[in-house]
Amino acid sequence: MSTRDRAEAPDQDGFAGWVTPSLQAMTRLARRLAPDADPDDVVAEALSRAWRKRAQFDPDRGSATSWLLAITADQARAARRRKLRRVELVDDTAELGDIASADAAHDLDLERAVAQLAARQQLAVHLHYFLGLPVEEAAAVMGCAAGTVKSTLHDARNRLRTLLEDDDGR
Amino acid sequence: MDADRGRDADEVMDARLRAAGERWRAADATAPIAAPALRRRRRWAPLLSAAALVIALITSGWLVLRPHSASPSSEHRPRPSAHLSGVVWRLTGGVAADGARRHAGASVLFTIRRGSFVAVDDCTVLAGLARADGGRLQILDLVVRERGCIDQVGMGLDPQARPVLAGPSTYSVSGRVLTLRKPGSGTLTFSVAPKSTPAPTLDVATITGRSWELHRAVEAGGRARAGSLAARLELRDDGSFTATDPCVTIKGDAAVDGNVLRFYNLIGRHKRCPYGAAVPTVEQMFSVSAGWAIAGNTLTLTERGIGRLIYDVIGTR
Repeated sequence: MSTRDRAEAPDQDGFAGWVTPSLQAMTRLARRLAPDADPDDVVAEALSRAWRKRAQFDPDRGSATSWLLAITADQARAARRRKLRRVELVDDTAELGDIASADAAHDLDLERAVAQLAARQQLAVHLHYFLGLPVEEAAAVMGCAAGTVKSTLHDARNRLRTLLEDDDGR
Repeated sequence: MDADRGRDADEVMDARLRAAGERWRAADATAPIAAPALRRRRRWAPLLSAAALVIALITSGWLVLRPHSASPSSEHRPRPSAHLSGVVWRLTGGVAADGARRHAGASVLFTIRRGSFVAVDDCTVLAGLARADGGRLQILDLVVRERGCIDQVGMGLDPQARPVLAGPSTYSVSGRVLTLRKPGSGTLTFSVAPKSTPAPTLDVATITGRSWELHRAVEAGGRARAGSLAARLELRDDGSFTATDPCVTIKGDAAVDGNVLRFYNLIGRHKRCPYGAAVPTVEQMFSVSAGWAIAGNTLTLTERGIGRLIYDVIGTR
């Protein structure tokens, strides 16, 4: 974790530089958690919220990225609840494009199964496997201990195995 | 033993998730991520001035930092983008005009080479002249040929993909992924097909655009009667057809209606035929309608109570 990442939330002038390193992860998490919403909308909402609450950021409880990702996760959940539909078809292809590869069919099965997991399990899987965060970082985003994330991931893998075996056996 | 098996299965699932995640991030790294913008200005009116500053700074900072985030040490290096032409593209999915997401079940391929466009799946062949310019694609003089499939699972060329493919549409290539979009019709996503995939070609058996010669005639009930097999059939892309045997030449129009050919505007001319024609005769078969099926290079026309005429593409036997 960088020194700057650990530093306290900055004032107006430093805010952009402070959030920039986290933007890609925030956008990816928005895409993972709210595929039907516009990720730019979700990130913009998260940034607005982060700006308003910047005084609440506590560097002792985690990095700026994990704090911003936690806010993004909240915003993505809210967007999902609102069931925002993307108006432009252009935006709707992002996820399909992402999985277009020789392993597309294999990954599609997995994606469908992940979508059936419980919300906490989904969040853990998205953070750890799809965003590539270490367990400790995922724990900071989820506001729990690393051990809890490990057991959540273990349960998620078990459930995924069951779901995919059901699919294969159909 | 069970515990070991469970651990192994858990590791397999862990590896599968890691691999899927890496593929997803690799694809994501090649896709442009727009700088965020505050869209809901009404709700955040008091923050407008600060937000404008933030966004300006984020945009500039993002553009500066983005190349570093794609460095080999932190992310997968994006592969160079494929070109629209000279590549075989395989349909991976799409979004319909109503927003419904569809996944390609059939093997839908297309390629553009030297300005010629050819797309195939199990049921249909599309061909035409491709005009690609400035991110816009349009297929001119589009020809649709039926291959005579029984059924097709998933999204196929016709009717789902055809409206977008025919254009005019906009296209973008990101890495090995091509996206075609046509307002009001939907979006299609393709990936580069493996190199071993044969390029789509017009040189496949289709009900139209081919010339056929009679190979076998079978009467209703299964009896094959001796007779000259010197009979030909040509169904053109404009729907007109000519069917001949030693005794008659029939011209008219044919319409494909599922697995049935319906005949209209028929004109027949009888000829002297001392040796007779195979039965059923062309005159019997091309009267009202006939069922059709293509398998390989063979076309079979069937009419209940009359029998079957089995043709091959000329020059393939």
